[in-house]
Amino acid sequence: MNKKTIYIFMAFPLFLGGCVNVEPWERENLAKGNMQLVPEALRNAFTDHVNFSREGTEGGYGLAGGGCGCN
Amino acid sequence: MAKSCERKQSIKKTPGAQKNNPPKKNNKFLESLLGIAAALPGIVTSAQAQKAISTSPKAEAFYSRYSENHFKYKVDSYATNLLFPLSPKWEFELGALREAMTGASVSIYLPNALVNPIHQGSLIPGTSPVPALTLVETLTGQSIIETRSQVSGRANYYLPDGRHSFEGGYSTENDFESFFGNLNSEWYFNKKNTILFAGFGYAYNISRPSQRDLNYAYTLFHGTNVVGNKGKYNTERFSLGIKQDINKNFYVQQNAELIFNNGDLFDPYKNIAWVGPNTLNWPNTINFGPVFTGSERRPHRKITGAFVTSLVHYIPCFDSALHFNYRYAANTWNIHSNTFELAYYQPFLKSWEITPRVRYYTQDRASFYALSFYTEPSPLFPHAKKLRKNKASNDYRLSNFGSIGYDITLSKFFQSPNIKLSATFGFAKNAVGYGWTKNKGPKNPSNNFHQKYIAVNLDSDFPQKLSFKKEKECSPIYKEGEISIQPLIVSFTGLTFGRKHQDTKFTPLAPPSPAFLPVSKFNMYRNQRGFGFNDIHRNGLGYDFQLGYFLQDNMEVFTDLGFVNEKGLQAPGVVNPLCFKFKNRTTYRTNVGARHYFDTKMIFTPFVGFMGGVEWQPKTKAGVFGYNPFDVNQFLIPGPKLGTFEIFKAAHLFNGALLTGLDYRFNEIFAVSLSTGLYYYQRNKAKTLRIPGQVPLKISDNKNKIIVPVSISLKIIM
Repeated sequence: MNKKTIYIFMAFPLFLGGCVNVEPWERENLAKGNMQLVPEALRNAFTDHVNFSREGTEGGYGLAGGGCGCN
Repeated sequence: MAKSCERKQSIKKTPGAQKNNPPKKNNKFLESLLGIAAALPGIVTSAQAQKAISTSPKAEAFYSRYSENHFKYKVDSYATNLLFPLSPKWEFELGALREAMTGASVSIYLPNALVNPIHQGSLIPGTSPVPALTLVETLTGQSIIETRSQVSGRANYYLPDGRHSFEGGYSTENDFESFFGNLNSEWYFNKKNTILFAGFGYAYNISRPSQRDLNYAYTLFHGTNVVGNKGKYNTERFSLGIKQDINKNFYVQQNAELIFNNGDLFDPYKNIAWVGPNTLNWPNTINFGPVFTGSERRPHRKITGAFVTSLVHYIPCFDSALHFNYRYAANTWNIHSNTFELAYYQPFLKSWEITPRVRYYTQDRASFYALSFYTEPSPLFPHAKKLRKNKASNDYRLSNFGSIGYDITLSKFFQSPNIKLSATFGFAKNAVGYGWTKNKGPKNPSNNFHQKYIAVNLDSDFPQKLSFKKEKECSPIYKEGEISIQPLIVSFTGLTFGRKHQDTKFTPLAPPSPAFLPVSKFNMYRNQRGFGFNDIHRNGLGYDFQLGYFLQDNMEVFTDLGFVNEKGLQAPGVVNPLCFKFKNRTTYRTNVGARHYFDTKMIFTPFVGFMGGVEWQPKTKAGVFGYNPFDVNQFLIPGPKLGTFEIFKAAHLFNGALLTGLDYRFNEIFAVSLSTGLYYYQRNKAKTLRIPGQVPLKISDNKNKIIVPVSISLKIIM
């Protein structure tokens, strides 16, 4: 993935946002629990740690805690 | 029967409850306002992002049981996260995690002819002969019994259009320590339709490899020990993200993260094998004829870039939500990976939700990865890789493979108190064939396994003003003549957080000479399933039935019937040449006792009491195995079985306890009871084990014990 692709990747939502105007009273659906990116934080942290321990790459989902995952 | 008065210790619904409960249609405007910021997903996964400052305390608790078929690896995890609002701008989160791990890990891959000649014979029934040159796994031993504890704290500071978070934490396990800190910020723009995220994280990690596991590969043939290298490395993480609402039902988020790992990045338990002379002066080298082994080595630096696109769409006609994530990650070790995740959240029957998820992961191999190596090519290791200075690993996690995972979550939403209870069942299969990159040579045998897990998650909002006072004064809490039944009391016996104890002593009785037959200490039983239970006796779970009668108000006498189940351990090399496999043991008990309850103005009712009685412990038996010359340390492959022997006789024993705890009475019929106390019990007497042809062995296990269990039960009052 070259730099140009990364720039386009990161800027993509900004292009979409130019014509977006969701008013506060229209945000009911966006506010629902199942619309959160991480509805269950601890379960998500658990699966992240399992994947971190068994795979060769990591990152992108947030700042994780400690733990070796050597075995 | 006298009836207690109605007790409604309800907890008021909180304004922040929209997180857990699907909003009702008639309250759209208020919920919209409350949820404006709550809809803002963050990049931080260490805690549920509450983008609007919380007006009430929140708690999340999690338990999971994870297992793999290949290495018999099991992990029990307990985690909790508490959030407290401190002021209109500050809130604080406290997190704690405890894991208990058991199983084995791959140490090295060697030709079968070298590792395991026994395997090619018939000593293990049902085992197919493996060709002599096939590379087979050699494990660190089924001896991984360790726990990990982690604590973390986080302060969130809210701005009119943003939020800053400051987090610090510490994680420790037997062979690894980690100190970490994170800073995160969010800024809201465009009527909060656009959010920018930025974060920085730092971790300092220290590994101190377990000597026992390290020694396995080295003592396998030569009886030589190796000193494990203490390793240190640090991790710096920089992240950026942007979240954009597309319309009132759809948003997209992009995250990018750059991770720098610097220091000793090797895995101390992994070893490589190569053919040819040791021209590179590899550390910890052992010569097995044509084959050399040595510690794996990795570059001292790894830079990883990860880019994640998330699309989240609400489907109005089904009141459901669809989540899609794609991640591309690459690092300077030349591993590239692609991850696809799809989740669908479907509410049903007003207060339930079902969520199936699917995940696909694929990666290619690191530039220095190979199953085997050479300094001079040899037909012994076909498709081996040339050994290069400071870079060689056969860790299956650095190889090419793919993984397909599925899980399904079932959630139930409660109101008053506002609770979300979820159960998740997950399954994933790893296989080299699932990866996008294909193999030319032999596949890494460790990458064909499956994972299973079950998880329970409890997420709750407390009332805005937390109060434990009774709404209605009711005294006494229990009345004369009432009968209480506790059908199942579950006791976690052995809630200890210290280091392992080894309580059973094995003393060989001369001849020939005690000097050459040292005294060993091992444990016969374990229960590694609890809150990081240690390997001490009586760590099993206890189950009891209790029947109580109130002689007068708040004064109960009761009788108890129960049992404790203990899981037998394998004890390798107790006294060479003997190895033991202890059978599981169940101890039965009966007690009588009394409890006194105290009326207070609080919703919880404290009590104190005592009980005492007798236990019946059946015979304790163990399978005893002889010497296996190819497995002197770890008892992976036992020698010939010498028989099953009685270790302790059956016995009647005394036990007694001082009790205290709290009852919470829901209504006239049901209450829940949480108790603890000091439990004293007698242990069985020592025995001398006499096996024909072996040195007599005195087994001592008669030190009486006081433990502090924790019990929970549902109480039925009639």
